[in-house]
Amino acid sequence: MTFLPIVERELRVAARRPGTYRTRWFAAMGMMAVWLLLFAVNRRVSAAELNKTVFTALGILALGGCLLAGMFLTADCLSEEKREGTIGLLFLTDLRGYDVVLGKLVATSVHSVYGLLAMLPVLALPLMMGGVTVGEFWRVVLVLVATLFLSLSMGMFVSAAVRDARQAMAGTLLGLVVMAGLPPALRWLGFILFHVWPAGVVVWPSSVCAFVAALDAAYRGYNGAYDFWMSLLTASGVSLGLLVAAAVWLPRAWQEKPGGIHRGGAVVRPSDQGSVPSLHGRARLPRSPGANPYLWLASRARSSDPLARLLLGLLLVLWLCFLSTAMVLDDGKSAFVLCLFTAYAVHQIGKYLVALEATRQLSEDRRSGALELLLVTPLPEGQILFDQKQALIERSRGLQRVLLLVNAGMCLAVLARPKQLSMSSTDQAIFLEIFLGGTLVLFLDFKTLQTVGTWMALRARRHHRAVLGTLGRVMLVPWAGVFMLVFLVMTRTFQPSEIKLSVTFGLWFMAGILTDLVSNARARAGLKRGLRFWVAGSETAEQQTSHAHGPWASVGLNA
Amino acid sequence: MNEPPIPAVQTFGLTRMYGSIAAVYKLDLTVNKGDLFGFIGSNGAGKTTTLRILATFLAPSAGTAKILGRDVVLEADAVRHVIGYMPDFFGVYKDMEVTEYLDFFGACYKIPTAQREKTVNDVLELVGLTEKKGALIGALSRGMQQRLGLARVLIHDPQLLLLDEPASGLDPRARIEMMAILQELQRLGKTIIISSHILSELQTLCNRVAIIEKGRLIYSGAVQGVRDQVSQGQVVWARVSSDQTQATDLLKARKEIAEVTVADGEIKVTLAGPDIEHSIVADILVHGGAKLMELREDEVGLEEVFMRVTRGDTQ
Repeated sequence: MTFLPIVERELRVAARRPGTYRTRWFAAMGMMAVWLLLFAVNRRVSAAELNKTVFTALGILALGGCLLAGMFLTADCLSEEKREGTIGLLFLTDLRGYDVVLGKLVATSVHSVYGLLAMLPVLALPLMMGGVTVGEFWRVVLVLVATLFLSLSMGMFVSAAVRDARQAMAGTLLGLVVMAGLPPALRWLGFILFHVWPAGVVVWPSSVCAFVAALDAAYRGYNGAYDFWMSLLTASGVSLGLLVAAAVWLPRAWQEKPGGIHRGGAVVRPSDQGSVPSLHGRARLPRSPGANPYLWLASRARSSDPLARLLLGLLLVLWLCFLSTAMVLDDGKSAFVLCLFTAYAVHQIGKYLVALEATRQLSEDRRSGALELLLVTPLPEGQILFDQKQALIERSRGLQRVLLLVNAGMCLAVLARPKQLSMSSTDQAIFLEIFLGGTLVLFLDFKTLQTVGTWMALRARRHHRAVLGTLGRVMLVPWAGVFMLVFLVMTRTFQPSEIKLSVTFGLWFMAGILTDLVSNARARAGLKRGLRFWVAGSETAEQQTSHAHGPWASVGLNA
Repeated sequence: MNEPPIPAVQTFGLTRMYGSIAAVYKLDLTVNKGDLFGFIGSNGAGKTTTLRILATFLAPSAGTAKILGRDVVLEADAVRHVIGYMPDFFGVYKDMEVTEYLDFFGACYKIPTAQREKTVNDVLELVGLTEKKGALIGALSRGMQQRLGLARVLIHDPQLLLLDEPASGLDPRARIEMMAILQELQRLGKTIIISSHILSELQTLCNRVAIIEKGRLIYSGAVQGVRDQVSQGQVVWARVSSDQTQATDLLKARKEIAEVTVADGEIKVTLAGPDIEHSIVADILVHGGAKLMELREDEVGLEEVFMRVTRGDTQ
C-alpha cells in the first residue's frame, strides 16, 4: 500500500507548520473563553443544570465547527490540483485513486483533528463538575468525530467531482445541508402537517439529530439508543461511501475532457464554441470591454454557480413550505418558528455566497499572476477597485432581492395572520423589528462583505481562506450574539419582558452594524495601501510600507 | 552642440532589499535605444527583481531607475505606457478567447475601441497566432501561450520590452521562432531587455549583455567585450601535418609564447600577452619548417564567459 508514504510526508509537513499548533491553541482558548463566559453570565440555575447546558452549548459550537470543516479544508484540495494540472503528475506514478484521496484527506484534516482534540478537554469540564454522564460525553465525542469525518469526506467527494473552487465549496455546503439540515426539517414538516412524527430512519443521516440523540434525555427515551447508533452508523457509512466514490471517480475525472475548457465556471465543448452560451445571466455583456475593462472582466463569469443556486433554491423551497403551512394552518406557530430559522439560514447562505463572490476574481487573478500584469498597465488601482465594487454590486443585486422578498414574506405572515400565529400586537411589533432591522443589516452586511472580501482576496494566499477570513471578520459578532441569546434563553438566565426583548434585538442589530462599520473601515484602510502593496507579497509589503511615505505613495490608490 | 541621446534604461545605485537580503544591490545599468540587451544571471541573482522594478511593479529600496528619461517611481504612469512587460509566468485567463484577452489588455492601455480590432489582428499576425484568434486560451499549447504573452506585450506598441525568460519551457522550434520574432522587433526599432538561461541563443541574438550575481552587476557591455575580457591570455589553436613534437618545441622555444599543450590532435598555444599578434604562431611554425594546416582563434562562448566571471552564488 503506497498511501502511507504520502500520509507520512504530509504529517511531517504539518508538524513543521506553525499553523498546526496555532489552530490547536486557538481552538482550545476559544472554547475556554466561551466556557468561562457561559459560567459567568449564569446565576439562575443549579450547578448540574448549568453544567449540562454549558456542555450542550459547547457541543453545538463544536458540531458547527466540525460541519463546516470540509467546506474550508477539503472542498478545494483536489479541484485546485485539477485546475493547476498537478494531479495528473500523481497518476503518472503507481499511485491509485485511494492513495491520493486518503493522502489528501490526512494532509488537509490535520488542523481540524487537532482543533477537535484541543476542544475535548474543555468539553469534559462539565463532566467533571457534575450534570453530564460519562456515556453522554463519549457519545457526543463520537458524534463530533463522525461529523468531522462526514464533512471532510463530503469535501473530498465534491472536490473529486468538480474543478471550480466556488462550485467545490458551494457543492460541499449543499451536501452538508442536505445531510444534516434537510432530514430534521422534513421530519418537522411532516409532524406539523400530519401530527405524527415520521419514522426515525428519516433523520438518521443527520449529524444534528445524532447530536440530539446523544444527549441523555433523548438517548434514554423510546428507541433513543437505537436511533443514536443507527444515526452514527449511517453518517459513518455515508462518509466512507463518499471517500470510496471520490477514490473511484478521481482517476477518471482529473483529465480535462477533450475540448472541454471551463469558461466562466461553465464547460464549453468544441461544438458549443460557435455560439458560446450566455455566461452573464440575463444581462448580456458586450463582447468587447469598453472604458472600464476590469468591470467587464469581473462581470464575465456566471453570477453564481449551479450548485450554489441549487442550495439556495432548496432552502427557499423549504422556507416557502413552512411559510405557507404557517399561513394556512389554524395553529401555525410551530411552522412559523421553523420558517424563521429557515429564513435565517437562507440569509446566512446568501451572505456566504456574497463572500465567495467578493473574493473570487481578485483571488484567482492574484494566484495566476494576471493581477501583476494588470498592475503594469496604466489602469489605475483605484479604477480596478471601483470596477470590482461595481461588478459585485451588480452581481449580488438578484440575491439581495430574493432575501428582501424573504423578509417581506415574513412581515406579511406576521401582519396578515397574527391569530393563527398566536401573536399579540407587541409580538407583532417585535417580529417586525426583527425583519425590518434584518433588512437594514442585510444591505450593510452585503456592502461590508464586498469590501472586506476584496481586501481578503489580496491578503489570503488561497481562495477558501479569503472566504473564511471575510466571514469571520463580518459575521462572527452577529453569530456569537445569536448563540449567546439562544443559550441565555435556554438556561432561563435571560427571561426578558417584551420591551427588554425588543431592546435586546435592537442591541444585537447595533452590534452587527458596528461590526460592519469597523470591518468596512479596516478593509478600506487596507485597500488604500494599494494593490501593489498586497500583491507583491508580505516581505515586499514591509519594504513598501517604509517606502509608502515617499514618492511611491502617490502612485498607489490615488494614482 | 548635440545633447547625448536619452538611454532607454538607466539605473543608478538601484537597490531592492527583502528584509536583510539585497535582491539587487547598487545596480548601475545603461541600455541604449535599439539595443537587444541580454540580462544574464543564475537563479536568484536578481534579474526578475530588476525587471519588476523597471516594470513599475516593485518599488526600489534605494537608487533610481529611468525608462526613456522617466523615473519609474515618480512617473510610473507615463512609464507604463512605453514599456511592455512579460514575466516568467503566463498570467492568462484560460476561459477567454485569444482576441478577447488582447482586446481586454488593449482596453487597459486605453486604445480606442475602433482601433483595437486592427491592433489585435496586427499583433496576432506578428507573433503568428492569427489562426488561433477564436480559440480559448486554455486550449493553447505552452508555446502558443508564450506567443500570446508576447502579443499582449506588444498590444500598445511599447518602445521598450522587458522579457523575463520568454523562451523558457519552449521546444527548439518554438524557441527559434521566438528569437526570430525578437530580432524582427529589434529591426522595427524596439529596445528589448531579455533575461534568459539559454546563453548560446543570447550570444547570437544580443548586441549587449549584463551579467549579474547576488544582486550585483559583474559586467555590462558588448558581447565581444566580455569575451575579450575573459580570453585575455589569447589562445590560438594550430593544426600541423608534419611532426607535432617538432612544432611544439619550436613554439616553446620562443618567449612570446606562454604555454603550449596538445589536445585532440591540435596544438593549443597561449600567447604571453594581449598585444602579441596571432600571426606570430604562423611565422614561427612556417619558418621552423612545420607544415601548418590550420590556425584559428579560440572562440570563447557566452556560456564559458558566464562560468568564468560568476561563482554560481545565489542568495
